[in-house]
Amino acid sequence: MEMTEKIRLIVSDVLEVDANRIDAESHQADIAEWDSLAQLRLVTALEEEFGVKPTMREIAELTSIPAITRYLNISGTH
Amino acid sequence: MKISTGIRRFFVPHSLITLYYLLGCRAFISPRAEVEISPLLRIGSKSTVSSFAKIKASEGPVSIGARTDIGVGCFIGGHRPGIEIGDDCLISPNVSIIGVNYRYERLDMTFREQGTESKGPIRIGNNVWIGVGSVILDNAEIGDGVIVTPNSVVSGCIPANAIVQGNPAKTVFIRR
Repeated sequence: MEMTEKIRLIVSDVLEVDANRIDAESHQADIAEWDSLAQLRLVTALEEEFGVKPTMREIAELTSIPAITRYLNISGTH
Repeated sequence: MKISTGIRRFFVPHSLITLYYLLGCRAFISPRAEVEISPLLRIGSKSTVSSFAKIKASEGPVSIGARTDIGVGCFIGGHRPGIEIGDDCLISPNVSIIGVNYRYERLDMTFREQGTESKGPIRIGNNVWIGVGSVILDNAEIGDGVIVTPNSVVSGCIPANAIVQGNPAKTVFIRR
Protein backbone atom coordinates (compact mmCIF):
# COMPACT_ATOMS: atom_id res chain seq x y z
CA MET A 1 0.00 0.00 0.00
CA GLU A 2 1.33 3.44 -0.86
CA MET A 3 2.63 5.37 2.14
CA THR A 4 0.25 8.31 1.81
CA GLU A 5 -2.68 5.90 1.71
CA LYS A 6 -1.39 4.12 4.83
CA ILE A 7 -1.05 7.46 6.65
CA ARG A 8 -4.52 8.49 5.53
CA LEU A 9 -6.04 5.34 7.00
CA ILE A 10 -4.07 5.66 10.24
CA VAL A 11 -5.24 9.25 10.66
CA SER A 12 -8.82 8.23 9.95
CA ASP A 13 -8.58 5.38 12.45
CA VAL A 14 -6.98 7.44 15.24
CA LEU A 15 -9.35 10.37 14.80
CA GLU A 16 -12.30 7.98 14.44
CA VAL A 17 -13.57 9.77 11.37
CA ASP A 18 -14.77 8.43 8.04
CA ALA A 19 -11.77 7.77 5.80
CA ASN A 20 -13.48 9.73 3.02
CA ARG A 21 -12.97 12.89 5.07
CA ILE A 22 -9.20 12.47 4.97
CA ASP A 23 -7.38 13.03 1.70
CA ALA A 24 -3.74 13.37 0.67
CA GLU A 25 -3.74 17.10 1.47
CA SER A 26 -5.67 17.01 4.77
CA HIS A 27 -4.45 19.36 7.49
CA GLN A 28 -5.12 19.49 11.22
CA ALA A 29 -6.88 22.84 10.78
CA ASP A 30 -9.46 21.22 8.49
CA ILE A 31 -10.54 18.46 10.87
CA ALA A 32 -12.16 19.35 14.20
CA GLU A 33 -11.33 15.94 15.70
CA TRP A 34 -7.59 16.49 15.10
CA ASP A 35 -6.84 18.31 18.35
CA SER A 36 -3.62 18.36 20.37
CA LEU A 37 -4.40 15.11 22.19
CA ALA A 38 -5.37 13.39 18.98
CA GLN A 39 -2.02 14.57 17.60
CA LEU A 40 -0.22 12.64 20.35
CA ARG A 41 -2.33 9.53 19.77
CA LEU A 42 -1.57 9.83 16.06
CA VAL A 43 2.17 10.06 16.72
CA THR A 44 1.97 6.94 18.90
CA ALA A 45 0.21 5.10 16.07
CA LEU A 46 2.83 6.26 13.55
CA GLU A 47 5.61 5.12 15.88
CA GLU A 48 4.04 1.68 16.15
CA GLU A 49 3.45 1.36 12.40
CA PHE A 50 6.66 2.83 11.04
CA GLY A 51 9.13 2.49 13.93
CA VAL A 52 9.93 6.22 14.02
CA LYS A 53 10.51 8.33 17.11
CA PRO A 54 10.00 12.03 16.33
CA THR A 55 11.23 14.65 18.75
CA MET A 56 8.72 16.94 20.45
CA ARG A 57 9.60 19.67 17.95
CA GLU A 58 9.01 17.32 15.03
CA ILE A 59 5.71 16.17 16.56
CA ALA A 60 4.50 19.77 16.58
CA GLU A 61 5.17 19.97 12.85
CA LEU A 62 3.39 16.74 11.84
CA THR A 63 0.06 18.46 11.39
CA SER A 64 -0.88 17.42 7.87
CA ILE A 65 -0.75 14.35 5.66
CA PRO A 66 1.96 15.90 3.41
CA ALA A 67 4.08 16.85 6.47
CA ILE A 68 3.81 13.33 7.89
CA THR A 69 4.66 11.83 4.48
CA ARG A 70 7.74 14.07 4.15
CA TYR A 71 8.90 13.19 7.66
CA LEU A 72 8.56 9.47 7.06
CA ASN A 73 10.39 9.70 3.73
CA ILE A 74 13.27 11.60 5.36
CA SER A 75 13.35 9.01 8.14
CA GLY A 76 13.91 6.36 5.51
CA THR A 77 10.69 4.54 6.29
CA HIS A 78 8.98 2.42 3.61
CA MET B 1 -15.60 17.20 64.84
CA LYS B 2 -13.09 17.98 67.57
CA ILE B 3 -13.68 21.19 69.52
CA SER B 4 -10.25 22.52 68.56
CA THR B 5 -11.00 21.83 64.91
CA GLY B 6 -14.34 23.60 65.22
CA ILE B 7 -12.74 26.62 66.85
CA ARG B 8 -10.08 26.83 64.16
CA ARG B 9 -12.59 26.36 61.40
CA PHE B 10 -15.29 28.77 62.55
CA PHE B 11 -13.62 31.43 64.67
CA VAL B 12 -10.30 32.15 63.05
CA PRO B 13 -10.76 34.87 60.40
CA HIS B 14 -9.66 33.96 56.91
CA SER B 15 -7.50 37.05 56.69
CA LEU B 16 -5.58 35.83 59.74
CA ILE B 17 -5.00 32.48 58.06
CA THR B 18 -3.70 34.31 54.99
CA LEU B 19 -1.30 36.26 57.18
CA TYR B 20 -0.24 33.14 59.10
CA TYR B 21 0.83 31.24 55.99
CA LEU B 22 2.33 34.32 54.35
CA LEU B 23 4.60 35.02 57.29
CA GLY B 24 5.20 31.41 58.29
CA CYS B 25 5.61 29.69 54.95
CA ARG B 26 5.84 32.50 52.39
CA ALA B 27 2.79 30.93 50.77
CA PHE B 28 -0.24 32.90 49.62
CA ILE B 29 -3.61 31.58 50.73
CA SER B 30 -6.52 33.55 49.31
CA PRO B 31 -8.74 34.97 52.06
CA ARG B 32 -11.59 33.36 50.13
CA ALA B 33 -10.04 29.90 50.35
CA GLU B 34 -10.96 27.46 53.12
CA VAL B 35 -7.69 26.40 54.66
CA GLU B 36 -7.20 25.61 58.33
CA ILE B 37 -4.24 26.34 60.51
CA SER B 38 -3.35 22.75 61.26
CA PRO B 39 -0.23 20.84 62.32
CA LEU B 40 -1.21 18.28 59.69
CA LEU B 41 -0.97 20.80 56.85
CA ARG B 42 2.34 21.84 55.34
CA ILE B 43 2.55 24.31 52.47
CA GLY B 44 5.82 25.11 50.78
CA SER B 45 7.34 28.45 49.98
CA LYS B 46 5.79 30.55 47.19
CA SER B 47 2.87 28.20 46.75
CA THR B 48 -0.59 29.65 46.24
CA VAL B 49 -4.11 28.54 47.10
CA SER B 50 -6.79 30.34 45.10
CA SER B 51 -10.28 31.50 46.00
CA PHE B 52 -12.90 28.94 46.93
CA ALA B 53 -10.36 26.14 47.16
CA LYS B 54 -10.71 23.93 50.22
CA ILE B 55 -7.94 22.00 51.90
CA LYS B 56 -9.09 19.66 54.64
CA ALA B 57 -6.30 18.34 56.81
CA SER B 58 -8.22 17.24 59.89
CA GLU B 59 -8.27 13.52 59.04
CA GLY B 60 -4.66 13.14 57.93
CA PRO B 61 -1.54 14.95 56.71
CA VAL B 62 -1.51 17.11 53.62
CA SER B 63 1.83 18.25 52.30
CA ILE B 64 2.14 20.72 49.42
CA GLY B 65 5.54 21.52 48.01
CA ALA B 66 7.06 24.82 46.98
CA ARG B 67 5.85 26.99 44.10
CA THR B 68 2.75 24.88 43.63
CA ASP B 69 -0.50 26.55 42.58
CA ILE B 70 -3.86 25.24 43.76
CA GLY B 71 -6.57 26.62 41.47
CA VAL B 72 -9.98 28.07 42.10
CA GLY B 73 -12.53 25.69 43.54
CA CYS B 74 -10.18 22.78 44.18
CA PHE B 75 -10.87 20.34 46.96
CA ILE B 76 -8.07 18.49 48.71
CA GLY B 77 -9.41 16.11 51.33
CA GLY B 78 -6.71 14.69 53.57
CA HIS B 79 -7.06 11.22 55.02
CA ARG B 80 -5.10 9.03 57.38
CA PRO B 81 -2.46 7.77 54.91
CA GLY B 82 -1.99 11.35 53.72
CA ILE B 83 -1.71 13.42 50.57
CA GLU B 84 1.62 14.59 49.22
CA ILE B 85 1.97 17.09 46.37
CA GLY B 86 5.40 18.00 45.07
CA ASP B 87 7.07 21.22 43.96
CA ASP B 88 6.11 23.33 40.94
CA CYS B 89 2.76 21.64 40.40
CA LEU B 90 -0.15 23.28 38.62
CA ILE B 91 -3.49 22.12 39.98
CA SER B 92 -6.13 23.65 37.71
CA PRO B 93 -9.55 24.85 38.85
CA ASN B 94 -12.11 22.40 40.23
CA VAL B 95 -9.70 19.52 40.71
CA SER B 96 -10.60 17.10 43.49
CA ILE B 97 -7.95 15.12 45.35
CA ILE B 98 -9.81 12.75 47.64
CA GLY B 99 -8.22 10.03 49.68
CA VAL B 100 -11.24 8.15 50.95
CA ASN B 101 -14.02 6.01 49.58
CA TYR B 102 -17.22 4.95 51.23
CA ARG B 103 -17.62 1.25 51.79
CA TYR B 104 -20.55 -0.31 49.97
CA GLU B 105 -20.56 -4.06 50.66
CA ARG B 106 -23.78 -4.01 52.67
CA LEU B 107 -27.23 -3.49 51.19
CA ASP B 108 -28.84 -3.20 54.62
CA MET B 109 -26.88 -0.11 55.66
CA THR B 110 -26.51 3.36 54.22
CA PHE B 111 -23.15 4.29 52.74
CA ARG B 112 -22.66 6.75 55.59
CA GLU B 113 -23.20 3.99 58.17
CA GLN B 114 -20.67 1.74 56.45
CA GLY B 115 -18.01 4.37 56.82
CA THR B 116 -14.95 5.13 54.75
CA GLU B 117 -11.69 3.42 53.95
CA SER B 118 -8.37 4.39 52.39
CA LYS B 119 -6.11 2.01 50.51
CA GLY B 120 -3.05 4.22 50.70
CA PRO B 121 -1.56 7.69 50.39
CA ILE B 122 -2.00 9.91 47.36
CA ARG B 123 1.38 10.97 45.97
CA ILE B 124 1.79 13.59 43.27
CA GLY B 125 5.33 14.23 42.10
CA ASN B 126 7.10 17.42 41.04
CA ASN B 127 6.14 19.57 38.06
CA VAL B 128 2.78 17.88 37.53
CA TRP B 129 -0.01 19.65 35.66
CA ILE B 130 -3.51 18.46 36.54
CA GLY B 131 -6.22 19.69 34.17
CA VAL B 132 -9.51 21.29 35.11
CA GLY B 133 -12.14 19.13 36.69
CA SER B 134 -9.90 16.11 37.15
CA VAL B 135 -10.27 13.74 40.07
CA ILE B 136 -7.37 12.07 41.86
CA LEU B 137 -8.52 9.13 43.93
CA ASP B 138 -7.34 7.09 46.89
CA ASN B 139 -3.89 5.43 46.54
CA ALA B 140 -3.07 7.21 43.27
CA GLU B 141 0.58 7.83 42.48
CA ILE B 142 1.53 10.36 39.82
CA GLY B 143 5.13 10.61 38.68
CA ASP B 144 7.16 13.73 37.98
CA GLY B 145 6.39 15.74 34.87
CA VAL B 146 2.96 14.20 34.25
CA ILE B 147 0.10 15.99 32.50
CA VAL B 148 -3.43 14.92 33.48
CA THR B 149 -5.84 16.18 30.83
CA PRO B 150 -9.08 17.87 31.89
CA ASN B 151 -11.84 15.80 33.49
CA SER B 152 -9.68 12.71 33.87
CA VAL B 153 -9.98 10.31 36.81
CA VAL B 154 -6.71 8.95 38.17
CA SER B 155 -6.78 5.98 40.50
CA GLY B 156 -3.56 4.05 39.88
CA CYS B 157 0.09 4.66 39.08
CA ILE B 158 1.03 7.09 36.36
CA PRO B 159 4.65 6.91 35.14
CA ALA B 160 6.83 9.99 34.98
CA ASN B 161 6.35 12.31 32.01
CA ALA B 162 3.14 10.61 30.87
CA ILE B 163 0.20 12.47 29.40
CA VAL B 164 -2.98 10.74 30.57
CA GLN B 165 -6.59 11.10 29.60
CA GLY B 166 -9.96 9.64 30.50
CA ASN B 167 -11.84 7.74 33.17
CA PRO B 168 -9.94 5.73 34.19
CA ALA B 169 -6.97 7.80 33.05
CA LYS B 170 -4.82 6.00 30.50
CA THR B 171 -1.46 7.01 29.10
CA VAL B 172 -1.80 8.68 25.72
CA PHE B 173 1.82 9.67 25.32
CA ILE B 174 5.14 9.77 27.16
CA ARG B 175 6.86 13.15 26.91
CA ARG B 176 10.43 13.05 25.71
